Formats: sequence, structure tokens, C-alpha cells
Amino acid sequence: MTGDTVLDIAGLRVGFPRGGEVLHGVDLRVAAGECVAVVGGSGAGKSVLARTLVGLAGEGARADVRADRFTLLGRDATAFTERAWRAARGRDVGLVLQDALGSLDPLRTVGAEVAEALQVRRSLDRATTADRVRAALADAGLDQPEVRARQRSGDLSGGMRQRALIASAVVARPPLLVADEPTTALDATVAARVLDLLARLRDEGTAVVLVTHDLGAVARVADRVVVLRDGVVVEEGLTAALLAAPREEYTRALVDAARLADGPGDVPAAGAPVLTGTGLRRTFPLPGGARVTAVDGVDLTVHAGEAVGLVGESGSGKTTLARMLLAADTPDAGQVLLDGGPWSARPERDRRPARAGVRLVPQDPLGTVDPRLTVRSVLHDALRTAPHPPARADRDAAATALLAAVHLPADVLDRRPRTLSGGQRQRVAIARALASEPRVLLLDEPVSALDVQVQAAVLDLLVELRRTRGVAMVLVSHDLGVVRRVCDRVLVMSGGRVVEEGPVADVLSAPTHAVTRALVAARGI
Amino acid sequence: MSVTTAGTRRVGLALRGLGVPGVLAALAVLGMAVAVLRPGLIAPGDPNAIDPRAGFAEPGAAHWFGTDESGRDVWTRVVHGAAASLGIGAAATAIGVGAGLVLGLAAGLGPRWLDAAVSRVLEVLFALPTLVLALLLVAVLGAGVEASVIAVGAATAPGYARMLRARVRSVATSGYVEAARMEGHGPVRVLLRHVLPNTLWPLVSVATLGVGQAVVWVCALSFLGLGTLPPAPEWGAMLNAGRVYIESAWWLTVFPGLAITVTAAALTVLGRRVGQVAA
Repeated sequence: MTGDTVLDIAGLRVGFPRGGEVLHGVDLRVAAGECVAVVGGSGAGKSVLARTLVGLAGEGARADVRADRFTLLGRDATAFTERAWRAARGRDVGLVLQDALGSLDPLRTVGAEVAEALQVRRSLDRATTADRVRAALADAGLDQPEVRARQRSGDLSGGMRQRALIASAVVARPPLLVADEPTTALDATVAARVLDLLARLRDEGTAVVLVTHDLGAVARVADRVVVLRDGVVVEEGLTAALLAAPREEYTRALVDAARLADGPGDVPAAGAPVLTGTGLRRTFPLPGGARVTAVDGVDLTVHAGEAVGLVGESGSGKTTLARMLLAADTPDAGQVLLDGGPWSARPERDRRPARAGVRLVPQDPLGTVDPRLTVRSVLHDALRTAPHPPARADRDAAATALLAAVHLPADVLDRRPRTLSGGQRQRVAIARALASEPRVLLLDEPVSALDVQVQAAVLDLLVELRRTRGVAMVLVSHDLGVVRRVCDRVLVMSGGRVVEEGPVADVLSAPTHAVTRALVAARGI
Repeated sequence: MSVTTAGTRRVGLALRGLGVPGVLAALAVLGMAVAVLRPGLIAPGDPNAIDPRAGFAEPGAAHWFGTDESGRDVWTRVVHGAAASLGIGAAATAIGVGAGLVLGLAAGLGPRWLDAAVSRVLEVLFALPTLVLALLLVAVLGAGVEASVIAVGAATAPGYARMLRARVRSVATSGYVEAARMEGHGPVRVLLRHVLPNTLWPLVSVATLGVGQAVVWVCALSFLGLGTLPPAPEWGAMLNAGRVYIESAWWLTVFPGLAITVTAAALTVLGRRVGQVAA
């Protein structure tokens, strides 16, 4: 049920002195107890809209905000001064940002960060504040809220940080909550919990604006959808109707991209084992002197040309396992074999020549390239490590061919990765990994930071590479839809152990373990 | 053809990156470089030529910056003094950066015991203010040009060493260095290709800032009579000599003081700008 109008915007235009106008007359109405989703691809102006709603359009730069009507809780927000906005934030409108690590002060405890929103409002006594903070953290789905409140953001996982951030946005119970991509960085089960939290807040009377590119999230909690493209609302309507029968071409493309194709199709048959892990175990020391077991007795075989999916919630040991397969990390027990010979047990010096055969495609391609280097240098460096490195004169041609293989134009060669879009960066990372003609690609959440359309395109590329090059893949993901698109087999991990494994279709259609069932439910497959 | 146009474009981009203050500072530094290398070009006279009849002449057409008690032209002395002040400042910074490089890289990349040893020594040195440390070293080495160069250089080394240690650590543990290793590149290549360039590049801006600071310290030592000794033209020494006449002949102290200020300010602005462009 919906109540009074909380936010009413008509003809909102936002421009930047350098970037020109980003929003060209956007209308948006949100009532109490209603969740409106703002969807659109990258660059549609979603985030600018979200920031404008809390008076932070500029984000440091000066922004030119004009609107025919902009009322927040019945007050005219076009006339708000910086001071009035400061008072309104937290009290009247809460903001949840995508980048949880950047939004939390690393030097303060989570409890202090969350309490700040309360203290702005009025002076509560310490016990009440602590109670409210604990309640907000628990509401946001964090276990052991007392412990979490005493930890700092660096001690928490990505999903916990995101939930702490949501707690800080809702602790003062603002009537309007603006969430900018709140679930993008989270694994599927945690994302589902965060969405449930948003739905509950909505049911309790909060007006929610959910900015996202994830149509799955939209279907789950939004009552209405506003589709934004190039700063203009191209379509809007009730969620179910709009998703079932999108009118605009653009909306249809978004909906199609969200429905990932079913399986990789025809791929070469799997061959002999390439990477074999037996009894892999890895523990890490904790500050208190205890040890946490990240991977606990895992056996895994990757055959030539096959793709194995590795799924699980965050903290289930997926990435640690992948790092051991790459021999970036050494197991405490068990060992990894490459082509039947020792791999993890060899010293790095002996391993170096064989590294060409096993390559990593990282989750964050930007962090793994030297910021000084252009794409050309990055690819040249990678080509030098190939089993038959091209002559100096042929390197440019080889680099161009690699870019062509990942569908990037040759003029990307002279750009620095920093200036590329997220999808282009990920393609460069794949091209870099392919340079040495590897037999196994380890992909660590290769598409989790990309929006749906780009995600679908990158996954298509991976399937194409399986078909044309017969490269084996180990795909780490928290998204079963991604795994279904690319992989033949899937291993579900929980608490460092493999709890379920088998062909993708079998596991998805009849999940036996609770974790798998939760992941399947979260993806809505 | 493409080489020259690309070159011009790079220069253009670099100038835009510096901005108006940066370009002004760069011009000032360029002028100082001329004063250091070819002082005769701007001030053809002999800085030590005395002319007792023209003593205490006020600044004017004949003597732009006036003359001192022996009738020596202050403009000529300020220009020729640049070599001493700036040269000593630059030499001191070179010593500081050099020593800092050795210590910082040893601590940052070396074994743990070496890091512990170097870090403890650096902490002790860091506890002493730079100028006090320089004075201490001059007291041991004795007054003079060489002593002041070594003293200021050694006194600034702990700062550079600390910065380099932190920087080389963060670079060595960065994702791109690990990625290069996982790509199968050997340790020497990773060091030369990734670790050193990314560690040393920020040093350019810090060292530029450092020269300005070192000039001030070198002048301070000469002012105290512990660096360059009169009658050689040097800004700090000139300040000290003019101090006696500050009420009757203001130009004896103002112009050398201005030279120090402009030098330090120009190098600081330039260093900051270079730092921003680099980042």
C-alpha cells in the first residue's frame, strides 16, 4: 500500500560545466511505502539522478541543477542551501552507495560510522544510540551485530560492508531511502538478503528509490520501474507489466541481456586432465592467534577444453582455491598437478616457464596492470612469455590479433587501461591472458563488476573462446546464471568444502544442498 | 613527421598540466638555472669588484639592487650567489636522495632483519629536527661549503628513505606486480619494469620540493657563518653581512632574502604541480 508523496520531481535537468547536461528533464514521483526502480545501462545518468536526490549532484564539482518541481516531504528542495541539504541527509533521506569500502572510514569502528547518522539528528544518550546501532546492523542482516559494531571496515567482507552501509543509511529511519546499485558487489544470497531488507523497509512505510542495472533485483522489490536512457525517461510502468512486455527497443535489450542464454552450446569434447588438485587445504592466521580454514580438503580435476564453474557465497573459499590452482598460493596440505607433473610443489623458478599454460583473468583488471603502461605494452609483455614469442617486429600485429579475438578495435593499443570502460578493461584482461596460448584460464568473478548488457557480451566471448580455441576454464562466480551460460560442470563450495558437484543442468534442476538451493533461488532460475 | 607533432603535443599537454602558476614557477626555475650555469649572461660584472666611492648606493638605474658597504653591486652578487646557494641545495638534495634510495630500497626490499635495523636508525634520526641534525653534522665536520652540503644532504636522507621504503613496499605487494610474476616474468625483469619505475617516479616531485627546502637550510647555515664564508657571494652569507645595516640600507638584506624566497616558492610550486601531473 502506498501513502503520501514523499518525493515529487518534474523536469529535472542536471548539467556539469565540463560534461554538459546529463539529465534532460526527468520526472519522478515516489510515495511512502513504494519502491521505484531506476534502471538503465552505463552512462544513462542513473547515479547522477541518485546523487541529485540527496543534494550531492556535484560530487565535488559544481553541478547545475534545475527543476520545474522538486519537492521532498512537501518542501521545495530547489531552494535548499548546502546547509539545508546537510540537515536533510540522514534525517529525511538516506543514501546507500555502491562502493562500500570507499564510503566507510577505515579508521573508525562500524558502530561509530553507523551512529553518526543518529548523532546528526539529535543527541541521544549512549545506551539508546548503541541499541539503535545494534538493531540497525541486525536489520541489515549482519550476524553478531555487537561484534560487528566494534570492528573496522577493513575487518569485514564486501557483503558485510555493504550491509553496514545500509545500516548507516536506515538507522535514523529516513522516510526516503536512495540506494545506488546496493547489490552489485554482493554475492547472490547476500544480495537477496539486502533486497529483502529494502522490501521490508518499504512495507514499513519507507519510500525507496532503487537505482540498478540488475533487472532481477527490480523484479524482486520494485513496484514501479523508470527506464532511463541518455538522461531521458524512455519508459515507465508497473514492474510486472513492463518486464513482461517492454515497449521500447532499449528496455527490451535490457530485459534480453538479463536473461542469459542457456548453456554454452556446441563445444569441443573434454580431453585429458590438465590441472588436478588433490586434498587441497589452506588456512590463514587470524589476529587472535587462531587460524581460519579457507579451503578444507578439496579435490578437483580440470580436463582439457572443459569449463568448470566454482560457485558459493563470499568467504566460501572459491578465490583461495583458484589462487592455489594458479600457484599464486601454496596449499598447506595436498598438491596441484599440471599435466600430471608437480605444480604447486615446485619452486617458483622451475614453475616460471610453465606459467604460460595457466592464466588468470582477474575480477579487477585495473588493479593488475601497471598504471604507467599502455595496452600495447601490457600485451607486448604478455606476448614475451608465450611458448613461441613473436619477433619484436611482429608483436604489434600479434597484439592487434589478440584485441581482435576479444572484439576490440586496434586503436585501443595506445590507450591506458584507466581510460577504458569496465567491459573494455575486462576484454583487455582476457586478451592479455590469451597471449601465451594458455590451456587453462582461471576466471575470478570476471563479470561481477559489469552491467548486464556488457556482462552478456563478455560471457558470449568466453563461450566463443571455448569453441574456437578449446581453452579450458575455471570460472569462479557467485552467480549461477553466469556459470550456466559458460560451464559444463559446477562445484558448489561452502565453508571451504565442495558440498555438491555435477553437470550444470543436473545441479541446477535438482539441487540437493541447502547452499545450492539458496543460490538457485537467489538467481531465480 | 609524426614524431615532431607528437612531441609538440606532449609539450603542449605538459604545459596545460602545469597551469599558469606551474609555468611561472618553471620560468623562474629556468632563470635560476641560467644564473647558476652562466651568471655572466644576466650580470656581466665581477661580484667581488669593490668600489668604495659607490658604497651604499640605493637601488637605481646604475645598480638595480643597490650596492653594499664596499660598493659591490648587489644584483651581480645575488645572480652569482645562485650558483653557491642553489648549487649547494641541489648537491645536498642529490646526496639526500642518493642515501635515501640506498637505505629505503634496502629496507623495503631486503630481508626483515635489515629492514628492522635500517628502520630503527631512521627513527632515531627522524626524532631530531632536520636543521638540528645538520648543525650537529657541521659541528663534527667543521664549517665550510663541503661540510654544509654533506650536512644538509645527510640530514634530509631519513625523510627520503622513509618515503621510498613505504612506496617500494606498496608497489612490490601491488596487484600488478603479482600479475606480472604470475605471467612468468622473472624477478629482475619485474623489478626493472614495474617496481623501480613506479617507486621512483613520485620521487621527482618530492626531490624538486626538497631542493627548495635544502636551499633554505643551506642559506641558514651560511647565515650562521657555518657554510659559505664571506666574501664569496652566497645568499645566506649576504643576509648576515647586510644584517648590520638593516636600518640604513634595507636592500642589502631584502634582495638576497627575496632570492631565497622566490627560489623556494618556485621549486615548491613546480614540485607540487609535477606531483599532481604524475598522479
